[in-house]
Parts: sequence; structure tokens; C-alpha cells
Amino acid sequence: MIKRQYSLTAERRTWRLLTLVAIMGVMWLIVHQITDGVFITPRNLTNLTVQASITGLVAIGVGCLLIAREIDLSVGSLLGAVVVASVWLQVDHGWHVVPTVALVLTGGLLIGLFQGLCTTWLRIPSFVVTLAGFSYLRGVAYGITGSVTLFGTSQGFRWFSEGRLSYTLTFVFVLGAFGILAALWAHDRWRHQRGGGLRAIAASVRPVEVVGGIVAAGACISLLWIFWSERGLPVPVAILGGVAVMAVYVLRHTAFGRHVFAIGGNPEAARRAGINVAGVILVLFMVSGVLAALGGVMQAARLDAGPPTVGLLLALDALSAAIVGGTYLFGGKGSIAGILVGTVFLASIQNALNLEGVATYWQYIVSGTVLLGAVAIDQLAQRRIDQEYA
Amino acid sequence: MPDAEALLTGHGVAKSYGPVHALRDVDFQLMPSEIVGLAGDNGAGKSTLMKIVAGSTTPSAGEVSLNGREISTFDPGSARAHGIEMVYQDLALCENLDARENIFLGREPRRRRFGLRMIAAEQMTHGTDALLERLEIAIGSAFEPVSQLSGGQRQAVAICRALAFKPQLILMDEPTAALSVNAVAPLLRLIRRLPAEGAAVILVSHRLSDLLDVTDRIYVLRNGEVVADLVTAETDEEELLRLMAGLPRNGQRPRRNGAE
Repeated sequence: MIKRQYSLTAERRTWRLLTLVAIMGVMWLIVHQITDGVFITPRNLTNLTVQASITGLVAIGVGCLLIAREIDLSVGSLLGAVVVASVWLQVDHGWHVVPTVALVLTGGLLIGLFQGLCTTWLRIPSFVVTLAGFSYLRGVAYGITGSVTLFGTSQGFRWFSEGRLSYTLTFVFVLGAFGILAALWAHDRWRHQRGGGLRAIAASVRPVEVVGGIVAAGACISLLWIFWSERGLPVPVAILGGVAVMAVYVLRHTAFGRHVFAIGGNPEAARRAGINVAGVILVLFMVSGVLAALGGVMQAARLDAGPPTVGLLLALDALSAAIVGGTYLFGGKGSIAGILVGTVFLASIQNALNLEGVATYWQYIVSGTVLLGAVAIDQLAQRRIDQEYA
Repeated sequence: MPDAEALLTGHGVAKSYGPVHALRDVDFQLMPSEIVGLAGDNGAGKSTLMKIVAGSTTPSAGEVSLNGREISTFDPGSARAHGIEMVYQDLALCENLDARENIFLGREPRRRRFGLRMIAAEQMTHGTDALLERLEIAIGSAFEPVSQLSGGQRQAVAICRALAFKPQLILMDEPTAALSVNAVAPLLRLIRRLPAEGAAVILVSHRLSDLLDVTDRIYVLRNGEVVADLVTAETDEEELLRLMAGLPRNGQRPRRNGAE
């Protein structure tokens, strides 16, 4: 009989994430004081979440690849190419929103497919494949318009950045997203207790789950307050939320998701277990390509222009967000919640420094230091765990 | 022609890696619920033969039949579908996944809920629970990543995985190699119980005492060829060592089981 139906290792990872949330909370309060009450306002937090939504979207794709022991360095350049292409198609060729978005998303999918095939079929390490993509896709971004920045997208296209869901839809969407996650958790727990009823489920709840639940409920209420006060849920945040819920479902509750983790833990063992390793990696590259392209659409709508330099450091931002959020660089560990917290954490630092008018170079220095600090703390904690089990 | 009653037969099985002949013209046979050992020095071809049966590699020549039907596709997925499981020397476990996830890896029970297909995690938990109880195996927690388990417990998880789907044949490559002395005896007891679970076993081990302890027959391989097929009860460690090294004794030929 398996008596202990929980994992101390998984709980430790959740505590780490909750600690990161707590640190972020303290940081928000301090910054709020320093900025004379500007930081924790619906307007600023809406800006922050909209800014973070593009990085978050790309970080989900990159993070899933990291979990499967692969990497995608080309996302920033792909996003740049998509930004330029979407504006160029509308301004120079008069394309409408739907065909423009359909074409660039298909382009992202095909680039992902190509990079995935290079990695799985030609067996070129994904680092090299996507490093090449980092270069040639940036070339494409410059080449489309001959380095000229085009301006002026259609109003329909700008919905991807400026659009807001109605108050009713905002309410339904935010509560729905958290409700789905809670339902998935409760369903799993109920099945594990062999249908023992609410009492059995309540008895099985662990302290970390109580704290996690409180934090999630707090996040849900905060998001409702923020977007209720600011004309409704911004479309980029809604897109990120939808993608995040889908990603949680796939990674945690489907066989495909388990296979992603298995490949990250031991690709050869996964192959011997009959898993189509190449197929899984191919799908992940395609997802990363589509998400980077979707991020590009949102970015182009936000800028209302197509500068070919956009997204130059996006891959590093996305990787940093995933790693700060607890994704293991060498595969097998990570979570969507962690990736989102890492994204908001780094975006908060950037936002705070912007509010204080700190020079851009300081933002790079602080972001780099946070990344190094997070990984160093993880390494020290892991060393302690290894010694414990040695 | 394969023996109609045999579970597994091989005829003229060969495997070459470029100019290197890992296996040459090997014949073998395994009856249902039989435990057969493979003995041989490093490079004798034991692991190659195991990999062919497990579908990890394709033979260069020859035929392998299961229940009288020739196997045409050699890949791990097909082998598992035919009821052939392998416990690898390196265990082939995903260290980041827990015991349940490793045992059901690639064969996760699924169900449809809220219109979505998802893993039936509780079936994995209850299945693992029942399996551990049946095999009288104790592990710390089936929810902890296997990286946190001891060598013996990890071995137990690998064997549980092989047994979880009622296999006809389990291949074990050096299962005792990485175990402490205390962990070897329980494992050998477990292997002896496998025929009662309905599974035949092919066991590769450098520890000849293990082979003599648990097998019914032993094939001795040398330089990619089968040099002897011995009934375990009629042989000893000295004879196995002599055959592995290719040393004749008093001009006698090795004893063989059945017609030559």
C-alpha cells in the first residue's frame, strides 16, 4: 500500500515558487513606496501584464522545449520577422487582418517544423539549429522591407494589443481560467481518494497546497480588481491566459505532457519505453514557432509599426523567465506556473526601474544578477538535497 | 522450423556492426515459463542478442519467432506490444519521474473527462500499489522521483515496469550488477517467482552464481557464437568458466541439451 501520496521533492519545488511570489510581493510593496504609490495601481499593473504577456507567451514555448532538453534561441528573430511581415503585408499589400495573421502563424509553424526536423531528423543539436535561426530569421526581418520601418496597421489588427474584453467576459474568463485549474486539481484528488467524498479530499490536502490555493485565489481576485478598474481584460493577457491554461492541461494531465518530462529526464529511456521522441520534439518546436509568431502579431499591434530590430534579446528574456521560474536548463523539470511567475518577476523589475527612470543598462545588470542569483540558490538547495539522499 | 511449443526461437541470427561480427549464426529456443541464462565474457554477444529480442536493434540475418510467428518489425514499441519486456542494465528509468510514471511510461491509462482526454493518474497509483504488494516490494514513496530511491528500489521499479502489463517474456541485462550484496538475494527470489507470474525470463549476468541459482538452462556465448546449451542442474561454475574461455576439458565436447 502506498501510504504517502505526495512527493516531498515536488512540494519543495512548489515552496520555492511560492517563496519567489513572496519575494515579488515584498518587492512590489517597496517599489510602491519608492514610486509614491504609482506601482500597485490598476493602470500600471495592466501595463505590466500587457508587457509581460508577449515574453510570457514566448517563454511557454521555450520553457516546454527546455523541459524536453531542447532549446530555441531563434524566437526573438522569428518574432522580429513576423512583426515586419505583418506590417508589410498590411501597409504595402493591403492585406486584411485574418489572412495576415493566418499567414504569419502558419509561417511560425513551418519555421518550427523546419527547426524540429533539423534537430530530430538531421540530428543537429537544437542549440546550433536555432542559433542559425537567430541569425537568418533576423536577416529575413531586415530583408522584407530592406531595413525600412513601416508604420500603420489596421484597427482590427491593433485589437491584438489594444482590445479589451467586456466586463462580463473579463469576469467569466478570469474566474473560468482559475476554475478550470482548480477543477483539474480537485478531480485528480477525488479520483485518488477513490471517491471518498469531500472529507477524504480535505484530509489529503497538504500545507503547501493550502498556501498555493490562497496565493492562486489572491491572484485571481487581484486580476479581477486590476482589469475591472481598467476597461476590462486586455486581449494580450487573455491570449496568454488561454495558452497557459491549455499548456497546464497538456503538460500535467495528458500522456503527451508526461512524455515531454520523460524525454527531458532520459531521452533514451523514453525511446525504449516506446515513446515517439522525435515526434514529441517536433510538436514542441512547432508550438514554440506558433507562440513566437503570435507574440509577433501582438508586438506589431502594440508598436503599430514593423521595426526589424524588435525582439533582439527576447530569447534571453524568455529563457531567463523560464529558469527564474524553476525550469531546469538541462531538462526534465519545470512548470507553466513557474514560467509565468518568472516572467512577471522579471517584468516587475523592468517596470519598476522604468518608473524610476533608471538607465536601460542598469535594467540589464539587474536582470542578469537576478538570473544568476536564482540559479545559484537552486544549485545550493540541490546540493543540500543531494547530500540528504547520499 | 520453430518448435510449435516454444515461446521464442531464433535461427541463424547474426548481427554485424561494420566489420565487427557481434553475433554469428546463433540458434536459440525458450519454452514458456522457463528461465534461461546467457553466459559469456565481455563482447561475447549477450547484450546484442538481448537487444535484438527487445527490439532495440535489428538483426543483420536470421529469423526470430515468438509463439511460432516470425517477428518482422524490430522496435521497442512492437516488442512491448508482443509482450516482451526488458530490464536494462542501466535500468532505463527517467530519474525525474516517480515510480508510477516510470512503470506506466508510454502506456499511461487514459480517460475522457469534461470532453478532454487525460491521464487516469489514480489508476497508475492503484496499479502500482497492487503491483508492489503482489511482488512484496517496499519502496519509500511511489510519488517521489526515482532519483531519490536506492539502487535496489530503482531495480525493483524497473522490474515492476516489466511486469505491469503481464508480459510473456522478460529480458534482464545484468540486474544484479549495481546492487549491494544485501539487495541481490531478494532480487533473485523475485526472479524465481516470475514463471509463476506467467513470464519466461532470459537473464544475462556476469555473476555465474546468480545464473546457477535461478536459471533452468544456460547458453554460453563466445565471440558471437553459442558454444554450449547446458541444463543448469547438470553444470557448475568451473565448466561455465572453461566454456566461456574456450578451454577444452579432457578432449570432451561440451554437453548439449536436446538434439544437436
